[in-house]
Amino acid sequence: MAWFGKKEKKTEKAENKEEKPKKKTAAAKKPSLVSRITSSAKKKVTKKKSNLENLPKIKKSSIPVASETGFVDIAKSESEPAKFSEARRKKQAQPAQPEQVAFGQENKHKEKFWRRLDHLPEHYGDNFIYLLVRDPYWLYTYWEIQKDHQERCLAQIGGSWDGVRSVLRIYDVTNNKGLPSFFDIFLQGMASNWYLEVQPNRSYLVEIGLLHRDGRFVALARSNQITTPRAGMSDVLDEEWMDIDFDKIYALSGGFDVGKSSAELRKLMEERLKGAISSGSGAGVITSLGSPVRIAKKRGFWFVLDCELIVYGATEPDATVTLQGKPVKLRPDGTFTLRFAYPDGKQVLDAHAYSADGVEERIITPIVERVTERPAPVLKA
Amino acid sequence: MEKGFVSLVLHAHLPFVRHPEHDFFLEEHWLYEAITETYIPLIHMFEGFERDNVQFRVTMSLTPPLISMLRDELLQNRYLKHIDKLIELANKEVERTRFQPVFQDIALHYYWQFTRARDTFLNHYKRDLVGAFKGFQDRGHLEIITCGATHGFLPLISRNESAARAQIQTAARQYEEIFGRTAPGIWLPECGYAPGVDKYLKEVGIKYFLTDTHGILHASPRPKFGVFAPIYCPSGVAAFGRDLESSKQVWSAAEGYPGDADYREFYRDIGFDLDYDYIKPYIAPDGLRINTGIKYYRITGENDAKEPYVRAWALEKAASHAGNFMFNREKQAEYLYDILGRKPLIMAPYDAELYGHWWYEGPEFLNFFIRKMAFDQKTVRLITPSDYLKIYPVNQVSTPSLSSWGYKGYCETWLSDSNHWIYRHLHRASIRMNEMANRFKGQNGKIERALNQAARELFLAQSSDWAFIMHTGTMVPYAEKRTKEHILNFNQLYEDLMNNQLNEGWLHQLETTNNIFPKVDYRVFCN
Repeated sequence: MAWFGKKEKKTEKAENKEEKPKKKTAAAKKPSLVSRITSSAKKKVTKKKSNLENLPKIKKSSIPVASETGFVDIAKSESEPAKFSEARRKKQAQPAQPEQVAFGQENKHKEKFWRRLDHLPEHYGDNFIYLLVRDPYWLYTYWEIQKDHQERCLAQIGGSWDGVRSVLRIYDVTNNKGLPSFFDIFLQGMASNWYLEVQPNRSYLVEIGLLHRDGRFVALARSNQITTPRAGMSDVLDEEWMDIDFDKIYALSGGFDVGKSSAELRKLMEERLKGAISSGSGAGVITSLGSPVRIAKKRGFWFVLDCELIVYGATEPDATVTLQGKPVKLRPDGTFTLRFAYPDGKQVLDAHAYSADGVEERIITPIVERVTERPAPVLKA
Repeated sequence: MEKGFVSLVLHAHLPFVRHPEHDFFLEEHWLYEAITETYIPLIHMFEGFERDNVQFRVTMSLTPPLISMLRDELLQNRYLKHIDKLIELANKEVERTRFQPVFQDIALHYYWQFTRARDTFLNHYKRDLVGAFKGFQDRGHLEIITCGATHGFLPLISRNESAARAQIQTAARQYEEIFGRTAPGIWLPECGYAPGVDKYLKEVGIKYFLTDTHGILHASPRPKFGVFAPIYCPSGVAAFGRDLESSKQVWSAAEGYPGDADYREFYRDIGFDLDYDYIKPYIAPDGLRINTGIKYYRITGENDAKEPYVRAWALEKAASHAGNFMFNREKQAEYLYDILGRKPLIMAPYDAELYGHWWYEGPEFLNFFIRKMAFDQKTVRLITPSDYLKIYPVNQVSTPSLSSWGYKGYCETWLSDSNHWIYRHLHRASIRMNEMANRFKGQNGKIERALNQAARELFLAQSSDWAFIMHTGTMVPYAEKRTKEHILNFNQLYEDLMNNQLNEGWLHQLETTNNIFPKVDYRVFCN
């Protein structure tokens, strides 16, 4: 997908200066709530995972957090700071209107296209949770739970939010035998989607539900089942198709050095895929490829200047005019204008006008010289 | 006899951008620029091969939205207006640069390129560039493959089966209608493969698709020949994996050919460089400076000071890079032949627009490469994936791994904080589309039209391009607007149909504006 890495040149310049800090703030600011929660969740999960068996008692100190567990506009929205849900509503309605880079008037000519800005629905009145694979290590899930459905489920474990938290329960269903293992993620804020850290080449499904501190769990919805891709070569061999050193083929296919072990190759491939220059797609490469030369400026300041020369005049509309021997096109009223890029040097601009009857010739010859001096930049401490 | 094969695959794609409600629309320029800088130069190259009897086999995907735009009368007329303007500007530039012969040479080059493009477009092919490519296919040189109907990223849009199936079926039908045969292969949008996708390809008779390297390398069971031979999915559809070595030489920003100092610099355009009053008639009507396509400098070096472009040097460099590229493929094939015990296939897929638009000399590089392949060596031969399957019909059966050619190799480009909000809407729409298609099947008239338009709106919302743009962060408002616009249109059609209150005037307006796939058939969404 090559096309869109393209940046207009000046935009590129403007962006280059701030690219790094800008990206960071954008990442932190943009889909604000969810992304921040997601990243904090990652850490939590790994801790909780180990003592899954005896679910941790919710400490007093964590109850305020628990009271924010509501999701899909419900639960403790009274206790939730109003600006939170308001911010979320705004965010969902107008997903991340990004800052305009340079040239604020970019969209002036688009009024018609831009006129209608209805909002997408926040939900479709359904109760479900859906699971998508992002890569070998991450899943993405989003859900919709209606308030009445949640209330009904809450009733099954006592009907009170006291000691109840909203959780995602992720089941590893790779092996069909026995009860699947699972781990929980405690939801916070008004989340309606989450990224889940998992393992390659395993099958998962997820339930969203309510977990009481006494261990009772009631599922609000159960997702589809997915399988993450393997992160390296398959362990499955095909007897009919063997007899070649696969590590060698793998290395050659991936453009790696021959002689590496499977483990090394896997690591190299993962690094390749995780690195900036992963595959050839525009996604990773094209933006930088478009301008193969990265402009590494120490300071953002710059200055350019050039000269053009305008030669204009008038004569009888039916006359013939030449400049430096080349014909000049006259306007219907006999006037003419010529415009030239004007480099350093001397130009003799001999202009001739010939009357239509062929009787008379007039000559005007401006001589122009351009000399440009470029003193070294003055840098004040 | 040769020791191996090289397969060159060019993926020509642009999202469907068409705004009849505006006289000028910046994003439509993606198409105009690609026509002038990539598609027409490729056509000229193929014409040259035919004229000079150069044997060549090249594969190109022409995506359904690109085909739709190239065949659209409004956009054809607008392209003509666009190229006429450019010719006018190039003409002025030839005069303006009179005192600078180095620049005037370049201005003349553009003048010549633009007038020739116009002539090819208007006089030679009567505005039908798709027909031009079809000609090369019909004469046995080019293999044209298809893509998803609107470049929907299949691993993420397929909450229900009909979402992916409709993308494939609609593309396959358009292909048959236009090219008069069954699509031999497909470029899966973004090379996005998820196990099971091949089933939809089989349904329409598509024989092969392309994946990124790890799609094949991580297939199960282990593919004996790595990416140097295709594998058959259990469905019987063949999967070809990208060779990384040849990719890197062209793609890599650090090591790739396009960064050479003699090649043209993309980011120095007179739309930005020249005096405002002079350039104003050739930029956006509101005065926003944009790229015109006239660029006078070469990449030069690591800093801002750019030297003027010298076309002859750039061509010289393109020829030597082509020679180098061929030499490396010969060595690669010889080496692999000894290890594999059969002729390796080196699969080299690229975005077509890389050649010409980004890498201005790209078409010349290809031209030199294909000619050299034909005349200067006998070690490797250019073939298409179909040719390969005829030579080696027996291949290992294995299931490719989920993969894409996006950043990090999987789905992150199209599923990140910047764009994940789209999926709950896209998924809901495809569930609703399936529901409507089943419920109203057999109805005609206004209801059928509304169902077909709903299918178009869903397709347009599914374009992977919008998520991609949101992810990269350039032109984001446009991508968000497009996504929302099509989902809102879809939802409205759904409600109107369900409540039996279709607004025919509005429906007509949608049909004329978002007119992709005139013959779309909503029944592809039925169970």
